[in-house]
Amino acid sequence: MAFITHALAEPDVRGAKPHRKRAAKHVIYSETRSDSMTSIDSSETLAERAQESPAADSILKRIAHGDPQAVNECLNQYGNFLWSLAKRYCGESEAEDAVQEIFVELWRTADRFDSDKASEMTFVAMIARRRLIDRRRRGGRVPDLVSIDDAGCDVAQSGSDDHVELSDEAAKAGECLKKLSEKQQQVLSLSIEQAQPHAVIADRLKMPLGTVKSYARRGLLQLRECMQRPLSVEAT
Amino acid sequence: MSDPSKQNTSGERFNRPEHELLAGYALGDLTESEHETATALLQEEPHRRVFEELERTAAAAQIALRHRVVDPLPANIADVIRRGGLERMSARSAGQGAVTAIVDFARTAVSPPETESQAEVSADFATADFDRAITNLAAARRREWLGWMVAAAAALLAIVMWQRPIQPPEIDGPSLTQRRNELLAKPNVVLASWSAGTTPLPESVDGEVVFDPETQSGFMTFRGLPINSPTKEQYQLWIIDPERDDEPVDGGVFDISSTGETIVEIDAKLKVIDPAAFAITIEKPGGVVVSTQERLPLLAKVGG
Repeated sequence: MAFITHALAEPDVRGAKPHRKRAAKHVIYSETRSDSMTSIDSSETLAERAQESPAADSILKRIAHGDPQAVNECLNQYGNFLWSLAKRYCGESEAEDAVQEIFVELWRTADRFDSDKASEMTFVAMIARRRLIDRRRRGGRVPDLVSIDDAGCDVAQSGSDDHVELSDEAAKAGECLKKLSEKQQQVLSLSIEQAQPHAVIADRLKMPLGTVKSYARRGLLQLRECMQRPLSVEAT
Repeated sequence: MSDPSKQNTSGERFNRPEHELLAGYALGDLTESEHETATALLQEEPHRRVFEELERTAAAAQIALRHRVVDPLPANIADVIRRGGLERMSARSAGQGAVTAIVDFARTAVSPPETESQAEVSADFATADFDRAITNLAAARRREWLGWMVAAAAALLAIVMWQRPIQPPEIDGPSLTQRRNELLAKPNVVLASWSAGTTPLPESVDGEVVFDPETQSGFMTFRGLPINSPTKEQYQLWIIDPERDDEPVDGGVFDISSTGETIVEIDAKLKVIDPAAFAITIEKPGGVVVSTQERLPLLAKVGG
């Protein structure tokens, strides 16, 4: 039927695989967080105990299981991050609707989070990006231009002042981003972090739009290839 | 760093032109024509897997590329979000309570007879009263079988209850019928009648859908829609709104428990501006975000 077209593909995170807590290796910047989310179990026995304890479950798992406290924790843990993201993607005037839309989607899809596929933070960021990109494509406002010098983003470093847990894949993404060409890094930073449309990036960087798109798209593909490689190779 | 011999976890190489298109989709930079092409690509599972990996990559990069300024979520917005989350949780808890009660009932109904039966049969064999023992054993097995049947039925019912779409309790408020009638009486609401879709149904179905874009509320009425088995499949509403988007809005999943008149409240996941049509698909339990539209039994065109 032509009148129903495909929305963005649902992440394949369904399934009833047993929850395995991922050991966080990197701490980058933080917002309020619960202690249960920060503990790292080195002993398998302790890890197994943690799996059995509902309190040790991820926030999204607990939301899926109907734990009201997890709603507050979700807001504390991701609220500021998602609000900032929404503002950058949609501008101040639409950010309120956008961030509410993201949280509704999180309540709805919490049971699809699979810690074997991605960290909770990555899942949250993926849901948020999907909603924000969809919103922009529907004709949402393009955010104000920012000076590239003031773009305010760079690859996160361990030991920075703010403290949100950087998952394994995000840490690896950071490492792999550094391996891209300078132009690719610049374009991807403006596209992903600053949420600048590619036409705006082309204007700012005085580059043809096609070139900007190529840098961004191929950069993302290369990033993915890099992230598929073993960590030990990429960490060198 | 580019190595064309590398493959992703889906076994797909990331060096094909369509992958660049999917990367553009994940970055949100597609033109309308590119979007149409990418949408067609996503009909195929291998492309969906690649796209999902690229979405995850972009999300990981989003986190890795930290921003210096993280603004606090305003308290009033946080309150609205919190209330919405807790309301959803409250509705879910109500469903869980019902499931727990059924499971508890099944447990107490089954356990005692098993113990008594086993003890009774053992005693008969011990006293060498074989005929009585065999009779009692058969009776015990029947009781056990009955117990298992009750447990299985209760478990099935529990699963059915669990899978039911969340519907807010209507203890204090007006009934669905009252609310639908009130909405029907309002000016400027959208009204459309159900007609057959692409998937034939055993009996003809009639009914209508009423939707108020102003309040984003609406109701579907069905007469003759077949009862579904929620553990196997559910109905899902899609709202087609070209003013808003060329992708349909998910209107929520629902079940039909009676072929008589059934009213279902619409639960649009996104804001609907000017709906042109409403479509019902049959999906796996819980519904889908991307419908293959393989089974589309009903359609209601506004003004049609």
